[in-house]
Amino acid sequence: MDIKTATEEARKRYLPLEGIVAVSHDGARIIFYVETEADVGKVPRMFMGYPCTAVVIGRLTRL
Amino acid sequence: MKLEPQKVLEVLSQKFLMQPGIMGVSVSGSVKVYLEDWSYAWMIPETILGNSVEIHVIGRIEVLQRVRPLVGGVSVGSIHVTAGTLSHIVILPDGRPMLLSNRHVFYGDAGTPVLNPAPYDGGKLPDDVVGYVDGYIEVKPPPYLNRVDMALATPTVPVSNWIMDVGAPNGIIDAYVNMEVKKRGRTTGLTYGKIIDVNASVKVYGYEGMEYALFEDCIMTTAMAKGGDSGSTLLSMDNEIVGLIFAGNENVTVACKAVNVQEALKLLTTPTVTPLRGLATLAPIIVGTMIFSGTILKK
Repeated sequence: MDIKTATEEARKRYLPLEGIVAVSHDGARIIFYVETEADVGKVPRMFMGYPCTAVVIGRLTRL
Repeated sequence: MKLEPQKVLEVLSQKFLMQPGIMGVSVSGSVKVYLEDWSYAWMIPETILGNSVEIHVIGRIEVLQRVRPLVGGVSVGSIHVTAGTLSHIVILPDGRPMLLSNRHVFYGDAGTPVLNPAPYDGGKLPDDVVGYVDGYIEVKPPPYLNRVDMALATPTVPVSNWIMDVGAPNGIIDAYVNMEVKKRGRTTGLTYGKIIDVNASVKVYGYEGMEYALFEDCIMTTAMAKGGDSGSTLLSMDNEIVGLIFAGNENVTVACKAVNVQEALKLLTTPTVTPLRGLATLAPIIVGTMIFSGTILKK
């Protein structure tokens, strides 16, 4: 499975969760953006064979 | 020798618009040059290409004030919102200029008045109406994945493709990580940032009638916008359009990709809509009940 497909699966599974703000990838890793440090634990270490990274950015609102 | 108004406008734009103190040019009815103050009047000839020239002193264009001709990067909003930012002007295939911003800035049914300045900044009906909400892509609740938060409004005042403090947009470019970018917005003015992500699916709070909305294929940048900057055009350092800012927080700013906005515009306005390149263009004033003489666009 390529990382784009894996990221799409990760989005479907994790983005609805409270505290997960965004899901993306950089070609090698799946990136999970989360609201707070407390949400980092919701991010898996690996997903469908790809390493995962958590980045704390806070909640997004329309501007 | 008298030339077509469009040709006169091109010559005017090339000759004057980059000069200090020149705030705008127009050929709506007669040839008009808008100046910051009278000290710049010596630069303006009495006639241009056989047309007499009217000089209008309008002061320096500021973001929260009434801006005529209307340019990108300034305060706008429909009568149903507080304030947002006018992205820039797009030209429809039939030549009509349209105002571009976020759907949550141009909120309301087709025909809803849009004000400059926005209601929060003192804009009032009917004096500050600059257009009417026209085509838009509605933001839908989950599980739908939105790609854009965008809407168009039909202008009723002279407009320019200028973006305040930036100049004219110069085509579209794809975003890439570490790209240096800038924007001009109603709240924070001209700011700079760097792109940190170009593939993000994001969860954005604050939309009417839903807990949050989901957007895919978004650009994320370092923090460069605040509330009221929604609608700002995200630009490369060479004024190429990268995206349309619509969300963020104190750490990051989020924009729809310009290519996705372009695709959405095609849905609304087939065939292709192309942002103006290079020359500033001032639209004829369209007033009163004639504003909907064209087709009302709505998804």
